Amino acid sequence: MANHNPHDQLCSLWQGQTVAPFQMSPDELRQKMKQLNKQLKMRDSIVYVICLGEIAIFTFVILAMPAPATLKIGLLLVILAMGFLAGQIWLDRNSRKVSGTTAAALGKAGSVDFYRVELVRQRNFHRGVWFWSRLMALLPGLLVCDIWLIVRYPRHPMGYLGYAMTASLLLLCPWAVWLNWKKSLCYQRQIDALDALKQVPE
Amino acid sequence: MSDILTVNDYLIQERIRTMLVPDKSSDDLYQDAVLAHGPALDRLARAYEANSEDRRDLLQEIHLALWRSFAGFDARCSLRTWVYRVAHNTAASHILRSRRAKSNTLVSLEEIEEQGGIAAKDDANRSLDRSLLLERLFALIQRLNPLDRQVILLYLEGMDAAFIAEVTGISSGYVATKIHRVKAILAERFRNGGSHGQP
Repeated sequence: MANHNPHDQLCSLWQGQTVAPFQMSPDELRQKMKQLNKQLKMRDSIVYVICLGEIAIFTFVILAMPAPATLKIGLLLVILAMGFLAGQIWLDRNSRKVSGTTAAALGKAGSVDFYRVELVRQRNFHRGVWFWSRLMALLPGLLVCDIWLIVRYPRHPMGYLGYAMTASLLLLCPWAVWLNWKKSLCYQRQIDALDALKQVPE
Repeated sequence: MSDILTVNDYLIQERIRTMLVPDKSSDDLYQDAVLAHGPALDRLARAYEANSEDRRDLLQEIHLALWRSFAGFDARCSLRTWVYRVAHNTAASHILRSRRAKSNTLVSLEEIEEQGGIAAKDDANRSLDRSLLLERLFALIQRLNPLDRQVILLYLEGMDAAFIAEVTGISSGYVATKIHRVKAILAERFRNGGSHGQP
């Protein structure tokens, strides 16, 4: 399509930029693809190893160590939360493979639709069930463990650590919720703007 | 004549579509795309990333996305539309992921137009050389939100409203309004630059 503004020197200036030819050979592309998949697998594996490692250690403490009931309950709650997190990450990866940003979707969707999908995903991360459920899953176990520390070690550095951790959890959680809520509102505004854009008549 | 397609018409159209893409592999389509649109992809990456290393990473990401996307290319749109969609969507996704972009507030063309007068006064009596003009153009583009950035980039590539509408998914009427704004902003901000800007 020819430039409909032949006199527009900015367009000429833009198109006249000197560019170094760039092309990747099929081998390079395949190699890059392999690298990318490897990185993604590695990243997922690290998360799973952390979750499963913690589950294994805490299960060992619960079953094999002479720990008090309160601590065991706390650790059990943390184990359940970790299992829940690992499951969520697995589901998230799978849903993205099925519906989200597959390579062909990049060419099939217009920018508005594609951008909206991305924004909705980001908004849901900050506001949706994913964020709240992660926080709520982890909180009870950690709080029970902290309370156990406080009760078990009064006037002892470990007890003070328990106080500090409880205070941080109680302060940081509302702050994190507020920050994420604010962020999600920002994404929501952008989504609304895109929706309004789509309703503009031809 | 009725506008409703008969089964036969549909089959003919499908046949034409498949003839247009005669069993080309992703590699072949990728090579065709790079040959025809490689420089535009390079300019697109420049508009998104000022740093040369980040720009190269983004360019590689776009090329990889393009090559991968061709496995699902069904010729329902032209190769050029496909290439621009993949490139712009990859770049928009790149912006959303980028921490630097998250910390900057991206604005719309309308907001830039509102702020226009102040910047224009600075340049009113100065002529700008090519590199400074380009630098300012990049600075302007990099402040824009992804969608408006796409509109201005496609405009600078010389695309018309219908094509921009096809790539972005906005109605062509609204694209025309956006282009009008782009022209006004460019005219105001680069008032004297053009006379020294011949490539």
